[in-house]
Amino acid sequence: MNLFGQRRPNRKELARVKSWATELLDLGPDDSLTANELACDKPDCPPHETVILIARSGEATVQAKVPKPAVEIDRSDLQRALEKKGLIPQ
Amino acid sequence: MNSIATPKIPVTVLTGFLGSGKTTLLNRILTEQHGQKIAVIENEFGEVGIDNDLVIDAEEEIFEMNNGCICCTVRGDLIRILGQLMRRKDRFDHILIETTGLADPGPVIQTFFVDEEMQDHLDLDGVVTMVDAGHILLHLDESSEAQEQIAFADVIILNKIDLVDSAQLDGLEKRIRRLNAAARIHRVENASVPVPEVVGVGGFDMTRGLEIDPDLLVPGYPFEWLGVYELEPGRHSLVFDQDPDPSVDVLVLPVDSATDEAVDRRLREATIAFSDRTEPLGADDSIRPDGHLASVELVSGGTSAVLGIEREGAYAVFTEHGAGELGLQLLSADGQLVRPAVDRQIAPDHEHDDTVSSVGIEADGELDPERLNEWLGTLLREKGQDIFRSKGVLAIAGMDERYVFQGVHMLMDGQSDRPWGSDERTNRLIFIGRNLDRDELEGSFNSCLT
Repeated sequence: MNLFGQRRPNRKELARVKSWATELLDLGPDDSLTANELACDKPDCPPHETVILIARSGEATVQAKVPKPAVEIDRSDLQRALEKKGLIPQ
Repeated sequence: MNSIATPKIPVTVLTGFLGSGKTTLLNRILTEQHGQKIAVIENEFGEVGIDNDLVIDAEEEIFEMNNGCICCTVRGDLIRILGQLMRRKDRFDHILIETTGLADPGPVIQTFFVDEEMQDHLDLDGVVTMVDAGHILLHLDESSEAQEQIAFADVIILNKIDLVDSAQLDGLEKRIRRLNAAARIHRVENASVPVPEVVGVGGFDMTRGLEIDPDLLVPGYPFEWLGVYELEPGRHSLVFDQDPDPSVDVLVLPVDSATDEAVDRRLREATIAFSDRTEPLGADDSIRPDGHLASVELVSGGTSAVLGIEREGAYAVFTEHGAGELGLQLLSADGQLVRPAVDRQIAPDHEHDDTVSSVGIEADGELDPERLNEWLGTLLREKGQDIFRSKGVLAIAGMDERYVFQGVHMLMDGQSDRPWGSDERTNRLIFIGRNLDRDELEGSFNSCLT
C-alpha cells in the first residue's frame, strides 16, 4: 500500500496479461477474467504480485499469481503460473 | 470488454434481511415507469421469483483472493455475470445486485475493485440496505450480519415504519446512526422509496462531499449528555430516577441562549471543568451554574438534587451519564416538568453492545504524506478485516488539491480532487467497522499532522 507514490498498474499491461491468459486458457465468450496488482511491504511477501481470477462459465473461480508487477510479466511467467495451478498442461 | 470512452454502467448493491422488503422494492423498480432499464442480478434463493428478462439469477460463489497481507474476498459468480453483461450493455442503463438476506456485502463490493478494466466499464454507485423497522432491533442484537449490512450502506431504507411508533423510530434511527454515521436514511412504508434514492446515490463517488453525522466527530468528551433549559430564578430540582452508579458528576453552566450554537461555545469549558476534582454535594447544598463539577450521590428509589438559579436565562446541564440512563428530569421550583430546548446525547448509550461503530475524525492542519502513508497502510493491513468502509478528504502538505480516498476492507483507492482554494485546509475521515478504538485511531491520525 503506497497511497501517494502509488504505482498505478498500467491498464495496457494488465490487459496484455489478460489477453495472454485468454489465449493460453482458451477462454470462450462466456468466460471471464480479472487481473489486479496487489502491493505489500511485509518482508515475507513479494512487493508486487499480479493476481488473476479465472471465472469459467459453469465452473468455480480459480486464482493464479505471478510474483511480479504486470509491467515485468512476460508470457512465459504467466504460462508457468497457470501450469503450476494445473490450469494448462505442462 | 472494449474501449474506455464508453459511458460507465452504474451498479447498485441492495442488501437487507429476509422480510425487510427487498423484493417489494425490486418489483417496484422493475415495474414502475422511471425511465431507466435496470438489469437485476438476483441471488438464487430470492424471496419471491420475479419474472423479467432483465433478471439474472446468481449462485453465490465466495472466493478468497490473497497474497501475504492483502486478503480480499470476492464473488466469483459476479465476475462471470458482470463479464457477460458487459457484452450486451446496450440493453440496460443500470445494474442492481441483490444479495442474500444473511450476506456480508463485502465480497460483492470488493469484486468491483479487483479489475481495472471492470472499473472502466462499471461504476459502483452505492450500497442500499433495507431495514425492517419492526424487527431490526432483534436482528441487530442477534446477528453480526445485520450490523455489517448497515455498516456498509450508503443509503439505509428504514422500511415498515408503520409497525413502530415515532419514539421507537427515533431510537432506532439513533442506533443505526451510531453504526453508520455517513449513510443517508429514508423512512418509508411498503418500500415506497423514490427510485432515484436507490439508483444514482453516488456513494463511491470520491468527488462528492463527505457526509458525516457531526455527533460522530465530537471528540471523546468526558460527559455523555447535555441539555439546555430556559429557567426562571428559584430552587429547581434535578431528579434522577435511576442509579447506574453510586454517584454522577453534574455541571451546570449559563449559556447565551437555548441553542446548539450557544452550548457549543461552552463545550471546551465544560470539558476542562470535568477534569477538575469533583465536589460531593452535601444534603443541604445545591448545584449552581458556577463551573464547579458536583458529584451527586444516587440512591435507589430516586434522587433529587437542588439546582439553584439566581437569574432568568438559559442554562446547560452536563451529566457524566446519559439522561435516559439516569432517568433524569428537571422540575421547576413549583414542581412543573421543564423540557430541555437542546437535548444531546454525546456518547453512545451503554444499553447496546454493538461491536460495529463509526469513528469520524476532523482535524485542522496538514498531513505529512510519508507518515500518513505509513499509518494508513499499516492500519488497513492490520485492521482491514474489521474496517468495512473508510472515506476521507485530506489536506496533504505540499499539495494544492484536496486528496480524497475510499476504502473497502484492505482495498483502498485515492486521488487528488479539486484545489482547496480559499477553503480552510482541514481533514475529515470516517471509518466504519468492528471493534474500532476511537482514541487509538484519533491519536495515530493526529501523529501524521505536520
